[in-house]
Amino acid sequence: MRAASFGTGRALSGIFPSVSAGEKAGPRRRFFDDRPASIALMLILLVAGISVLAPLFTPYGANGIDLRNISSAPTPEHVLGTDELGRDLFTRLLYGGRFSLLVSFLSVLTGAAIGIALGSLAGYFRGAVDTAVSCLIDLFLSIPVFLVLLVAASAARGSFWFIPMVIGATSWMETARLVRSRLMQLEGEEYVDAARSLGVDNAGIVIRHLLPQALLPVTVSATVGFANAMLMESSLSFLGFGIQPPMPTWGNMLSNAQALLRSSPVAAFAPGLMIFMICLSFNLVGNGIKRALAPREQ
Amino acid sequence: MRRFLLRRLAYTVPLVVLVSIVGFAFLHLAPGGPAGVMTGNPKVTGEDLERIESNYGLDRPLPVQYLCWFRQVFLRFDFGRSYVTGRSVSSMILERLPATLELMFSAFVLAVIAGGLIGTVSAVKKGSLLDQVLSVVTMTGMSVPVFWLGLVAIYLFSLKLGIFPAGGRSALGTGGSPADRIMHLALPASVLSLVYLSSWARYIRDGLLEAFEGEFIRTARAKGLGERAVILKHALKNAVLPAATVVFMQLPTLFTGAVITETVFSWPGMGRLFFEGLQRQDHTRVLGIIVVSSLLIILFNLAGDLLGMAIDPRIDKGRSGLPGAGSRKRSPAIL
Repeated sequence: MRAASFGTGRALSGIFPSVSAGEKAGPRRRFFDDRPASIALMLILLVAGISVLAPLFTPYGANGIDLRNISSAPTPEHVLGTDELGRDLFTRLLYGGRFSLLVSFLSVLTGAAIGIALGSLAGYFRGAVDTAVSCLIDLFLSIPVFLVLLVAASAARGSFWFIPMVIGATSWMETARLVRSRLMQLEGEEYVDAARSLGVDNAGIVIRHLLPQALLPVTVSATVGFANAMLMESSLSFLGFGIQPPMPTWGNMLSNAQALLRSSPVAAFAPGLMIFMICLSFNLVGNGIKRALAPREQ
Repeated sequence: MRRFLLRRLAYTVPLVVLVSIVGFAFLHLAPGGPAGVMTGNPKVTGEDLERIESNYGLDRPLPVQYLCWFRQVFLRFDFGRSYVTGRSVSSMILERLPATLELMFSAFVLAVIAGGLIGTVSAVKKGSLLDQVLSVVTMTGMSVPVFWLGLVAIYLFSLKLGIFPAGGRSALGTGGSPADRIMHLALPASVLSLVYLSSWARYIRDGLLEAFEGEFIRTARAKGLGERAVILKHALKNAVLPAATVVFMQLPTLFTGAVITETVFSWPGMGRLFFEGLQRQDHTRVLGIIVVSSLLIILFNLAGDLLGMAIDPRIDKGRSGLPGAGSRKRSPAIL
């Protein structure tokens, strides 16, 4: 499988390594045989699709106000009712999905970039660099990260670009460890020596030859990381330090939820249900990929 | 062992200092500042504001401000006074700490018992319907926003069913009988425990499944031990250890959860104190709580590692002095 992913595997667009001829049921097949995981994947794609195409599914704007229907219960006009300002809840759920998914995606991207960079530095150069990076990982794992995250987010004042950066900057450790240990395993492989003797520089070896082989574990951790990023964003927003309204995210739609519990429970519960559903789906997909790759371990 | 302890202690100080520098920098990035809160008052003039800032030393360069704070905290062990209440931060924290520890400890115990049970059952009944149902339960715990779960719990058990109170640590004016305290504790502790419970259950399950493959289990079975004894005495003992180190590593998670749970359930603990301080830009309070929780986490981690080393001599103590470095497995960063 290593040979396959070195050659043709890298060219494949997807998450899964190519299925070599000898294996009857390849990882891709095993993944789709896992019913919860494949249903979860479809659910994610469905929600993402509907959110992106939101204007097709709702006649209202994300911040459109219906003054005659404030905090209304579900009616034919407003499928899920309206919030305390008279904005259509269903519409805001759809648009909120766009921003929630985008923020989580950017957070994961930031975290993965930091993790891959530090992990490959540590795994490739070893020695003092590795010691420094390992110390940094241990450091981040042993402090109350969320408290610092809250302070940083309060400084950001809800900036759309800053929040994902802050979340990413506090959730790269797992990726860094994975990349580091994978690269250490690969040290001394013949093709690495071959590439080096052909004059490929360090960056070329890491990027072209080593990193592609660390891609799978990183994908699994990024999938689970997506759920964590969404949970973090929603917690920040609930506490009032996340993305600021009127831009809707599922998290900040819940910032008033406590006050709304009595008057309009739907408004207090629906966004949380979406977060829960999507996070559960991402965790199931992550689990599914892990299981598809290493069927014996489960 | 002594070298390990000394090394660990040597790492603790720079760690806490580094965290405090980062916290300090971010706090000062936020617009406003402690005196900024007063600009809302029309009676406070610009001159008053300048006077207040110079009284507090807020007009000095940031590095100087940090060094003053540093000297006060790390040399005189004094966290200073709150900008909002004027009280000493140490006494504010000490007042709230018992409530936080009570909540965290109950959640922890609940999670360990319930999670251990779930993990054991699903490992023994591996692949069965029960195992699948339980795996959905633990997956749920990792996917649900804690604050939202708290709201659902309040809605169901307080507003609709009226079984548990919706918030606080005891009923107003009663001083709190033990029964009343437990009723108040039940919801927040259960909600807080769920995240922890999930990862604990998963690690126990994985650890047990790994242990079942071991030769010592075959030996135990071969010598005629009952299945119960095999599981409880031999397999579980080996599964608990790696899981325990991971679980101690996840203590920061519990602090995260405590901030949120305390806010949702109006629990009078350190987490809510932190949150309110952050809202009002009470820098001394926020920094004080960050330092205290970092120290607490390091302390818990150290206790966990010492416990692990005492029971399992295979754990390598040489790797690095940093907290948790002795553990063989690492936790994923779960919120």
